[in-house]
Amino acid sequence: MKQMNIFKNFSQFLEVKIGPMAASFANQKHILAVRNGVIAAVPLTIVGGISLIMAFPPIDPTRVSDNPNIFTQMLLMWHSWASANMATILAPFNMTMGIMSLFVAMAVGYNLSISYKMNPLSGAMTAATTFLLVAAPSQSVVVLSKINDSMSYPLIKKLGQDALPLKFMDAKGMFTAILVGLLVVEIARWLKQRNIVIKMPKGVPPAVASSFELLIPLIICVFGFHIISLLCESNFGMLIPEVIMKSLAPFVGAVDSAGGTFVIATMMNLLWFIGLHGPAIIGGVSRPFLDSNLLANASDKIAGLPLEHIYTTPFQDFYMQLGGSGATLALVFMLLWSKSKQLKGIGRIGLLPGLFNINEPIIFGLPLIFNPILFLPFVFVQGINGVIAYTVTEMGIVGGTFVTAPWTTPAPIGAFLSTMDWHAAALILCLIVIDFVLYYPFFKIYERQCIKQEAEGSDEVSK
Amino acid sequence: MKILLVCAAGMSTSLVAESMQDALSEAEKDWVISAEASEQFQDVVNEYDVVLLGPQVRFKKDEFQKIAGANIPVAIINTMDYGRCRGDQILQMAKELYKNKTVGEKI
Repeated sequence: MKQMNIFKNFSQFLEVKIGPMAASFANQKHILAVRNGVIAAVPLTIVGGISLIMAFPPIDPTRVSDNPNIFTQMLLMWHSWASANMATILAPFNMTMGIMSLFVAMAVGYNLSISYKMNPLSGAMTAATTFLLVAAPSQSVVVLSKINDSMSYPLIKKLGQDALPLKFMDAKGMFTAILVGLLVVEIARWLKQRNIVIKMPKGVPPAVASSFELLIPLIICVFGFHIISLLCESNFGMLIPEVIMKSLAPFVGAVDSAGGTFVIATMMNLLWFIGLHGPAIIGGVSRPFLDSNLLANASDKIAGLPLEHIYTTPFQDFYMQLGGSGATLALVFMLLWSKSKQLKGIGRIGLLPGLFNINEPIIFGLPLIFNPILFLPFVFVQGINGVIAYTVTEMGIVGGTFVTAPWTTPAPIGAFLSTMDWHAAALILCLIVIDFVLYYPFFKIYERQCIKQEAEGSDEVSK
Repeated sequence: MKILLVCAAGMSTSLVAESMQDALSEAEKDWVISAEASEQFQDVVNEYDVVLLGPQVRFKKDEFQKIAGANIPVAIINTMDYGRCRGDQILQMAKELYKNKTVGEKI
């Protein structure tokens, strides 16, 4: 009884203190703009992912036996085709995920402008230009394939053309893009509030007038950031994105750890426990880290390097949120086989959505929210999945993630597509079994209670 | 009547929208019930008569009501009705919201 009271106080504390805090955090304009900006870029990562899947068939030719079966032979053919045409296959990747940060800058500028009721297109354009200037200042380059040994230096020099270096337009530019997107809109807003704008006389068409409104913020952002960038380069010998990445490295490292998966999962599910959408709230901060980890892995994969990160967006979507937040897929199976009519009914409603990682019917219908009996598994199982999957990936038993599959892809398929490794699908099945064991004792207690209530309920009807 | 359902990604509300559609009577078959992600809200809200929020995004209510203006009521769906996809109950709620709103307009 005393334990129940402590628990009640704890739930109340979550609801009364943490709930409103989480809500104002989620509604904070900048966090919202970052979250929506990063999410807006997701379709591009999926398109880039298709390119990656084509380029990296799930086979390692050095480990094939001497007598491959037909299936393996097909994979080998795919592999040799992909190796021969790598550059062509990866072109769509380079123009989507490879320059993802440019789109993130635009989307963040766009979304923040909307929340300030400013012209979103101007915000997006200023963000894009400014980002390119600080992260990818154009350079004169010569295409390697056009040079041959007999050419003299002046001749080679003549072949020079201007190009945008892609180096900091992928994961390495992500945080710069977010920062630039936010800053340029804030600068434009500051100028607007102080009425520092070019005002056109009445009679000038509004479309023309608004194009002039963009001018002053654009001039200040472009030249201001250009000067900062030049100072940064001359003082540190690095571009701004490099400086930002270096200073954020400790945070990136803390998030991308077994402990990081557990802490983030627990925070998200504590919010879910009081019925708030945890990922939508925490995601404003965690998502840029996970997305940029994935982009960095994709670049590593293409460069033939070992993948440097483990905790990425698909890692969270498939291993951790297995069947939805709280890793409830295993629980859905228990519900389906339950002797309680009520629980069985919820299992039926929850099965199909659950296979596609949607579990609001379970969260609100079982319910999992404010449910003291199922509190422990609901809040912690997802984190346990994270720690297990992290360790298994770190040990090299399962390949790392480098492709984004839509989060609604059934987990075994999603995990396979994001790693292009069959072992990932097997890991999902193992996690379902582990989750089953973890949820089962708590489920049994809850089921007993439900059956008892149902029996009492039917007694009342018969009276 | 046109009813807009909103949650984080528009996925789980689409389940609810479906069960509400099933609960419509013959005469109401032309009603529009759609589910959207919360980022889409401000682009589409003006096409609807009432807005219902999934309980998991209830912290959006004040902001959304402000965007929607006084003429489009925004309410939060009861958690149990939401979880168990009780389309008929939620439809009833939408009707009452709409009724109260039109009563308010007459006064």
